[in-house]
Amino acid sequence: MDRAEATGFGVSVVGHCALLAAAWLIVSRPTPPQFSQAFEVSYVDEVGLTAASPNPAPSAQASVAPEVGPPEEVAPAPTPEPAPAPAPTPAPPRAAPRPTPTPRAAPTPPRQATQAPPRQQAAGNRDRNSGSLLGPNLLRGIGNDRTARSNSPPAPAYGASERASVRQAIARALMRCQRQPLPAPEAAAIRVNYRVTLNTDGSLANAQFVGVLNDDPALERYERRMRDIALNVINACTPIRGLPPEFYDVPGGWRSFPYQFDPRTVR
Amino acid sequence: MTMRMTSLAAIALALSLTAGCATRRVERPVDPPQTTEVTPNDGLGNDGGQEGGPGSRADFLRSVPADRVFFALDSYSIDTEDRTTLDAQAEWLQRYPNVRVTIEGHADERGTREYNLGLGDRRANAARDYLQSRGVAPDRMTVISWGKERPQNPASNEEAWAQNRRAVTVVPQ
Amino acid sequence: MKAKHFRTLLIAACALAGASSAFAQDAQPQPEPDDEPVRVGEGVSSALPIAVPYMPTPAATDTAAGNTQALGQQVAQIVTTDLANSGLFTPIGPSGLPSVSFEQVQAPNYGAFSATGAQNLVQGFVQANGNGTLTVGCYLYDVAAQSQLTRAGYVVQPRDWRRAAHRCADSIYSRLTGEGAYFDTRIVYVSETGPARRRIKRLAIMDYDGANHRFLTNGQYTVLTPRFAPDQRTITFMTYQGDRQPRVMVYEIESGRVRPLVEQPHMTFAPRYSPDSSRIIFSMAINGNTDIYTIPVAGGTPTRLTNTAGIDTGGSYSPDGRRIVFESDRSGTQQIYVMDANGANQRRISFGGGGYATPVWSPRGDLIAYTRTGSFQIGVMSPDGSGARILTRGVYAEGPSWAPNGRAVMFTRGASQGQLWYVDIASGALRRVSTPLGGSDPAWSPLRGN
Repeated sequence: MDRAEATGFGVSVVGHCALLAAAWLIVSRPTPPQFSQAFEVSYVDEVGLTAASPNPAPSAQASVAPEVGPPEEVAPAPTPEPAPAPAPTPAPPRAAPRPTPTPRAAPTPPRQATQAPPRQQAAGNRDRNSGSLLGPNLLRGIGNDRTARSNSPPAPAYGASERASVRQAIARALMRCQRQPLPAPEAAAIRVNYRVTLNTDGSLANAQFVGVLNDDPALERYERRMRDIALNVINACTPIRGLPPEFYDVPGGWRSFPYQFDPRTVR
Repeated sequence: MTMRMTSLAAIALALSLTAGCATRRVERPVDPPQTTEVTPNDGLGNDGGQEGGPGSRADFLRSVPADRVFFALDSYSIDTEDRTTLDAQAEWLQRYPNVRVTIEGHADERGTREYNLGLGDRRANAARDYLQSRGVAPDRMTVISWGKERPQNPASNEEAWAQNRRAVTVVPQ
Repeated sequence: MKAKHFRTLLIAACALAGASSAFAQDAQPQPEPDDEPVRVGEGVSSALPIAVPYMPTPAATDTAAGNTQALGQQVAQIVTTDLANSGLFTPIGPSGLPSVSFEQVQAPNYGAFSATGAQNLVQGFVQANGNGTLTVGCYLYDVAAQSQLTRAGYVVQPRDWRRAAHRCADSIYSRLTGEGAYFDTRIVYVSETGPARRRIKRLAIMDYDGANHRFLTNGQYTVLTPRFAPDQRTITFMTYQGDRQPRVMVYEIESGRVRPLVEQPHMTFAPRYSPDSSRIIFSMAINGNTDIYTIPVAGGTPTRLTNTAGIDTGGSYSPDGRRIVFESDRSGTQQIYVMDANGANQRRISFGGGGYATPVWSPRGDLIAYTRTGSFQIGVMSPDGSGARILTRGVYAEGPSWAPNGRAVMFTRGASQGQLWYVDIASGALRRVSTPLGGSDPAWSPLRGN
């Protein structure tokens, strides 16, 4: 190709790469991945209210080595950037090239290293047998209690059927207040979603509006009122008493749950 | 004692005088004429024509079988009976060529207000067209529709409605 | 530079992009597992209980409209009546409720009012300002949530104190139903009295609830079908005039001047305004044939829109001014038709048995109200003719007129010596508007401006 074509081609390539890089940056924004408290998954034949693990222990041994040794010298990673405290991630980064002690730059382009220093640092540290709390591999399946001595995983007492029972109990409590006057008969097609957070005594801590489900632009004028109405149900029927306290703060417990006001639940 | 009674009496008298005062908030409307006198083109047909010599309203009413023709519901066609009446009217009008007439068209209450104005207009024009075909010059005839505003019979039954669906040839006094 | 260098670079760049997007996917948060919500709800069409206590005044003061203490009670009464009229509320009070001090107006005693069973609470005040005006404050609360939903204040001349009350009711009504307002409106209509054979008809105007009534004509000549201009500067109507053909007139509200609309020797009738108040659509009868025309409000040459042997009348514009609905008996019976604003594309939209008349396009554009001939009932249908339903069962009704929010329709009730009634199409509630004499041909004004 001639000079002009080459120049144009080069500009186009650079532009495309810049665009892709920008897209990647936007997508990999710092939304920290949801980190649920780690728990062991056991497969059992039945799901019930009793603990599903054979030897349940309140908490297991902390993931700390008996002795905390001095961190070994590690050759600095090829990237010159100061590494922030690496955040533990549930999934180890794949295909991150291990930094070699030699200052010779890895064949990977410098941009990749720039954008993934935390992972690389963590990968680098993990390979040593430091007695550190850090590292996703160590934390997997293990509790945080430093004083515990048991080696068994904790009891997963709250499964799908427990959650269903708790949610049904909440629904029964709210049903008393679910009958609400509509601003117009056609507004019955509008559904409203909230995220409800309760205190330990069952009183309302927070009701966070999530969204309205409505396809019909002619009904938009009623949406604000339907939000009020959905909230009325919660306000009128909290506090909710009698929910099992042990299921308050477990994952999926009744501390926080999604709630939908659907005027057609009862027809 | 008497002083007090005198002053009380004076106060009572003064108070009683104020009884005639009343505040009016609402604007006083202009009163409508309270007479039932027939004014021209009031939609009341040939009412009030009693006296009169040749060419007068009274003469007209004496000479023709009827001053009006009737129509079926929502219709404006001139039937045979109507034709007989209108023929007689045409003949009288030929005799008095200086008389100008107004033909009123009416409808019964079973139609909506605006449509009935159009229907009354159709009926009046149907009568006028027929009279014209019988030799009455069109510039002698004015047409006006009264819709359902001037029922001949205010009752709400078939007989009344039939009387109200009409075209009336109105002759001046 | 060689081509192959560019190719290598391009491939490397694309590989990089591919790897990046793989990374990118790992960096995304994992989607939440399907979480079935707690789902409850029973929506009912019942009236909302709302408490409206008497409204206090910071200082009882005599004004041209009366003492502010009495006004506070009357404002609460008007708000109560307006909300009840809509059929969507069950107002509680004003009497029999806990009294509200001026200090409590913005700090409600929720406990006292929740005991009444009310879901919402209206509080307000009336205050005389030093310059002769009044201030009416208006606050709406949610009793269970103990929160303020809306608030407003109106500064008015004493003679307009009722308008402040209606606007307060409007703000509450709109906030709790999502609908537009309609209480701060007027009605122009034909006041009727006298024997049926020679009825005396006068133009009259009043607030929608019947207050502030006054006559506009003296009854010497029969008047029919008045209509409000959307800009509320004029009223159009049809009048008989003795020797002349009856015709359409334009009445200028400010000056009181009346002038004919069309300078033609034919009967003109059934006038209505275009949405921008620039033109009037009307019917004209020439030699026994009635068709529809439009003309600028200021006058001029009529533009003909229909040209059939049928009676074409009752034109009404869509709120965007692009289409017109009208009635015609060109098919043999009265039916409803829609056409473009220039008269093109005339098509029939009513097909039920019997006849349809007096079509009027809702200000919201979603419905057309009409009179069902024969049975004399008011109904509504979509602009394509579907979904026709009767609003006034068992009631002799004719001549609908829409409230500006498109949620209520006023009409003439009764075959003779009529009355004015209106129906809320959401609740079906029927209400009478009290008039000093009989009434017919009501026309609902737009929402009054400031």
